[in-house]
Amino acid sequence: MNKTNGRLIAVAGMVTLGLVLGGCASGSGGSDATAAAKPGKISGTLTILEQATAGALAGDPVTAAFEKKYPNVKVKVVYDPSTGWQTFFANTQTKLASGQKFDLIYLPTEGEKLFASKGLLNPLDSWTARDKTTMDAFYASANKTVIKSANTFASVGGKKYFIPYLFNTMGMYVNKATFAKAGVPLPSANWTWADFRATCEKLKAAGTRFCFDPNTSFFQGISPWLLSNGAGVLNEDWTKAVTDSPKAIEAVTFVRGLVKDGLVPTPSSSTNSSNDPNTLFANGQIAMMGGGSWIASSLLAAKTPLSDMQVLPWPTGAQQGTPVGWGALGMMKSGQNKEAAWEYIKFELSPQIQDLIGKTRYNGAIPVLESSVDKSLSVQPAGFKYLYDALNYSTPVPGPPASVQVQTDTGSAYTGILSGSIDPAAGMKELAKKLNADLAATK
Amino acid sequence: MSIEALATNSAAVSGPPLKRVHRRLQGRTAALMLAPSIVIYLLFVAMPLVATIALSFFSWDLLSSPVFAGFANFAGLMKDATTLRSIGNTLFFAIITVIVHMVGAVLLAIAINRPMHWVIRKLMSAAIFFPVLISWAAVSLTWQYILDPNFGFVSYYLKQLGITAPGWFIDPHSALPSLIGLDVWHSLGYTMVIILTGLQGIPPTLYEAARIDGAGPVRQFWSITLPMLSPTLLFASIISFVGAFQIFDPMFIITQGGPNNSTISIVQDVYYTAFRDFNMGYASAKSLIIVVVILVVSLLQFGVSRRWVNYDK
Repeated sequence: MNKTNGRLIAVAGMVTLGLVLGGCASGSGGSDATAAAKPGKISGTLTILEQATAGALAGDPVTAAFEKKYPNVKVKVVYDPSTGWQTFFANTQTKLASGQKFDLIYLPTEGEKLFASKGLLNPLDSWTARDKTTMDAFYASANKTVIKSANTFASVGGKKYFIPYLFNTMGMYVNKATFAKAGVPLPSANWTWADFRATCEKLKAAGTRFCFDPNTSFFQGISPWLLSNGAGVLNEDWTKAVTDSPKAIEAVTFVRGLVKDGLVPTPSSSTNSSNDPNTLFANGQIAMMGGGSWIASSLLAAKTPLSDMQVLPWPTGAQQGTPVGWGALGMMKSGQNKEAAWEYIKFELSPQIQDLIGKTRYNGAIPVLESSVDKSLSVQPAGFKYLYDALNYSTPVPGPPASVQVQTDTGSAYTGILSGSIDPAAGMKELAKKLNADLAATK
Repeated sequence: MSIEALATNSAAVSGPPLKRVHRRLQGRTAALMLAPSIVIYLLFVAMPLVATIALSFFSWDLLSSPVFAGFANFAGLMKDATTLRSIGNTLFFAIITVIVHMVGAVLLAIAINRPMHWVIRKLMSAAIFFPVLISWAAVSLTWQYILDPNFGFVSYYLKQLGITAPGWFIDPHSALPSLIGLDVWHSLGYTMVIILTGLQGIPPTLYEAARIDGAGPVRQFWSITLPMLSPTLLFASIISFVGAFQIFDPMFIITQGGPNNSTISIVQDVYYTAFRDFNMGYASAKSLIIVVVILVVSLLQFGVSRRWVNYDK
């Protein structure tokens, strides 16, 4: 290579390097927080990012109602087609890094600290102070457990970023038709793990293919079993893994026993399951499945009649237990229309919209106003109120900044344990080490 | 015009300056023709490679400014159990796949190259090549269902025969071999077509001469077929290894690297590091491993090829 070519290549490399690093420097988190100004005119465009749930894509009554109240505002909802929260968080960060701007982002508990800690969100303290009367009225009627949990766990640096307007807990959906066909009586609401196992054995003896769908996801799969045995994945302040406790190992060993004895199918190799549990529930191949409010919409879509669904509390192990997760809209620092964004957040909290959320199963979740839950019971499966009452013994689902890694590693370990490829005790101890490393990496 | 004048004029037109002009025009035309390919190469290969090398010395989560990290990302690689496992898995996958591809493709190509009606030959080639045309996503989802231990028909019929089916994709001992089998089913046709082309390029006179000399089929295979096919085999082995080392789709769709990291590939590890953990610098450092391994193995293959590849016609 002669000198001229060498120089040309060196210059090209330096230019490329400069372009690359210059491009890298333009992150999306550089905006400053905006405090509430005096209330102004509500107009312009409001852009909201949400996960594309089946219910959301069917039509958005809340957005339609907001545009009717504020005709000068055009609401643009961007739906992300991810099927799980991990993918939603990853997609959202990629969208933000590419320069896409949103005024509001819908975030569940698992992602709130992640986004708040990256400096992407606008604190809401000054906004709530400005509209104190409205907020006081809301806090007086909203479920205290959800609000307290959100204030404790979703605040970063003493600042509040989220006001939850819906939530979910876990219950057990049973197919009454499948039970009737098998001649097995429905379990009672205060059933235990032993009762659960006995029910599974009766169903199997009567010819039902499997009694339960062993979901391996974080919220729907492992968490209820751990929490109903007095265990958990992380400790109370989400700083340390506790999967190596004897109670946690006992819980996963119990579920593994169900799989080993053929009462419960071996979990599919990935979340891209070739066997949709909603369809299996609808056609009677699975008699029970764990889930929250969102399951009702999925089961209806899979042609399970509402009258065949019954919700029961999660069976009791050492204690009653269920995870609780709430949803809220985060106000983006880089948003262009913060007045309209704040109005939208308040709008979601209003009694009229809380009623609408309950009656339309909006976002597959439960409104935080108990009065709205009661008004929605006529469109919900029997026993739906158990999901609300479960708040009394619920534990917030962990949402540390490393939530994506925590959920992925937990799901992988739980799948291995249930399929028998990993010993439960060894697997849970190894998981504790991995999770502690994940938590340490994002400190 | 006189002959002397013509000669003078010709000399003036076809002398060295004209040759230079002609060469320059040719060069510019060639550059113009090559420009689109060069631009695409620069945009999608050279620049990303430079960017990757640069980023591997930084810590960057896409959302904030990059921070210089020196060699910290590379030091982390040596201690990262998941990365080391992914390299091991990928090497195992690539080596076994290449061996099976080469042996299987040669045998299939020889079988198809036998004297037979051209319609039957075409049908057989198409049948073997057809899976190559199906997308990895469709292949993965379909085989995940077929090999599902609870609801898949393979496990069902094996159970009817009294055979306990393995866990296929959910057992760490059988997951990677299952994926290798899937890759062979999907891609063997491609390698076979390459080998078949090489086979059809061997002069039949060599086989006639060998037959006259009394050589049987086995002797013909070792003494004529393999040596004449060796350049094609070299090409196919390099292509197969490069493709196998970059395997991602079936692991991502079916097993997501599990169970227990038994199937995670290096490209999958890079993807998770970059787009799940948002650690772009570390992911860049990991992706350079892919470049280095492919480079080293390709150089080794070329080096060893001097001993066994025959370019004589």
